[in-house]
Formats: sequence, structure tokens, C-alpha cells
Amino acid sequence: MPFYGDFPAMPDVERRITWGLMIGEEAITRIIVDTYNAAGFDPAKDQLQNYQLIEGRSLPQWRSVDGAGARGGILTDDWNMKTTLDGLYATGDQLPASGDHNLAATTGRYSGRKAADYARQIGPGAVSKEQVAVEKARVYAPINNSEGIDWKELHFGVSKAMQFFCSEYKTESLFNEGLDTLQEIEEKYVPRLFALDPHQLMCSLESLSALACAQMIIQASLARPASSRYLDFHRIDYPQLDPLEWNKFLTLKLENGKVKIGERPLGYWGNMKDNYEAHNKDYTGVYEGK
Amino acid sequence: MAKDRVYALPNVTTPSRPVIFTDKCKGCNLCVEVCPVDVYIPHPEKGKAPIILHPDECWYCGSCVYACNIPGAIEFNWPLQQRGYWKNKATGKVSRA
Repeated sequence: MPFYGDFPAMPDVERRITWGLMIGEEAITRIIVDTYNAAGFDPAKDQLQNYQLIEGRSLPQWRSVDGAGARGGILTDDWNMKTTLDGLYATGDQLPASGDHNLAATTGRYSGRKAADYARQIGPGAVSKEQVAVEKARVYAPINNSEGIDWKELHFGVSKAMQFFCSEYKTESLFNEGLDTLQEIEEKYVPRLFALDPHQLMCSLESLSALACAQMIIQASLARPASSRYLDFHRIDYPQLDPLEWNKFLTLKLENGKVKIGERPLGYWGNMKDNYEAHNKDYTGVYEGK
Repeated sequence: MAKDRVYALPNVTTPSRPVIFTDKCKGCNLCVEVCPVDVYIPHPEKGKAPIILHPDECWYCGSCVYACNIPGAIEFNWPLQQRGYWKNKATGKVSRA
């Protein structure tokens, strides 16, 4: 103790790839490499202390995000990547898959191509003034208040509710209490949200999205009365891991203010190669021979 | 008996210095533009280093440091609790960033 990353034990090529390329050339981790190097860290001689002291011991409220599906996302039955909201396409981290650059690049290109095709077909369409007015009222609401609670308090309030009620110990009674708490926050505190400048307004809207996501996470947790090792999801009231009947995706949808739970079998996308070719006739083979 | 003046100020947010601008900064505001969380605002006086308005919201991504065209104008400044440790494998000496 503590645990160290043993860079000196690595073959030089592996060390250069891990420290120099993987961390050193990724946008937001390059600063880490440069700062360590400038402070005298030498990966050929020095072992790097694990950031969490002991490898694998992260905070109990964290769930592994590495497993495909562990953090949820938009499931689309549509090989065009269109969601159930007509005209809205899903891509990248919104999909239930590992959030890597390769996923972002490939799905972004794919969904973008499909969305552009669709936009070309349907044209600009008519603008619903009513919808615009409703959305404007929602987005600008915090600037109409000059006191109440600010976005940080809202954010911390939601976080604390999730740590209490949808964290290490998951069980139905805690989920229900969590939903009650979030509903109270929504009804009692969100109308008091204030933003004094555009920055605070932006942060307020992010916090409102976080509140909606928190509600979705608890609803989805309630809908799965089974623990799963693959989802890093452990319920006290249903401790058996991965019972066969729960080997499936659950979907969550808001319909007329009510949460509607659906399901999809694993592998609902069918044969990847056949489906890709069937839905991309204009595109298959574009790069052949290049 | 001499009277002391005592002042009280609102809490300073912490960590308060995610970066340090040196006198080499020409106030071009490129860092203001690239910051993904809008930590900075331009200085009202032209040519002066931006104001760090929301220091506690910094993600320490380093975008501002790499966007800067003037070497040494902006220095990254990790807060104390985020500075990691390492150990020299041969000597066992522990150091910190």
C-alpha cells in the first residue's frame, strides 16, 4: 500500500504507448502528463501512485461505466439511429456502449449521415410557436428570480438524494423515498431557482437535466427487480445475480406525464452485417478499393 | 487606545487559482473562448489577462493552457488535493507533483 502503476517494469514501447501516447496525446489528460513530467516524474524510473490509493476501490455510489449498457443510454430499433422522438437521432455517449473516441467517431458519422438524409427529405417544416413559447418559458425561468436557490444548491441537493437513495444499498423502499425527494425538489425548489447571469443560467439548465436524469435512473432501477454483475447493479431485496428472465434491456419512456416501461431482448439489433447492408445500400462499399 | 479596523468579506470560492496568468499575457482572450465551462471572462481593460470568474468550476482539462500562443503566459495550477504522488522504484523516494 498504496498501489502503484509500475511503469518501470513495462517494456519501453508499452511505457511510451501508455504514458506518452494514450495519456499524453488525449485532449484532457495531456496536461496531467506534462505537469508530472515538468515536476520530475520519469516513467522509466518512477512508479505512479494510484489515484484512488487502492486500485478498483472507487466511491460506493459509483457504478462501473466500462461495461456496455452499465450506464444506460438511448436504444434505437431503427437502423437509421433515429429515436422514438421523430427527427431526433442518437449518437456517441447517448448510446449504451463504451464511451470511447472510436464509438463517438463512427456513430457520429453514421447518425449524422442518416439525420442529414432525413432533413433533406422532410424540409424545414413549420415552427410551432406554442412549443417555442413553452420551451422559452422553461429555459428562462431562473432569470426571473433574483433570490431563492442557485444551481449549485440544486445540484448538491440532487446528488445527496442519489447518494442516500440510489447508491451502494439499493432496495425498493429507498428508491421510492428517492423519487419522493426528487419530486419535492422539482415542485418546491426548482421554481425558486435563480440565475443572475448567462453562466449561471447555463449551469441551472444543466442541473435541471441532472435532476431529470436522476429521476430516470431511479425509475429504471425500480423497474429491474434483479441484480446484475454485468450492469454493476446490486439490489439488497433481489440479491440473485443475473437471473435468466432479467437478461434483457428495459426501456423507459415518459408518456403523458407517466413513466412507461418496455423491454427489448439482448441482441435486438439482429445480424449486424446483414442489417447494415440492408439499411445502407447507398453507402455499402463506398470505401472499397481505396 | 488605537482602534483597529476589522473587515469581513464573503467567502472566497476554493480552489481559487486553477491557472496563473503571468505578465507575458497580452489579453487576447483565446483561453476565454476555448474554456468548455466558461471559467473566465475577458478583462474590461483591453490587453489585460482575463478574469477567473468561476475558479471552482474548473475541470483542470488544460484546454486554455494549450490554446495559448504565448509561451509562459498562463500556468496550470493544480489544487493541493489533486496533486498526485510517485515513488522512485530504485531508491523508494516519494515525490509529489
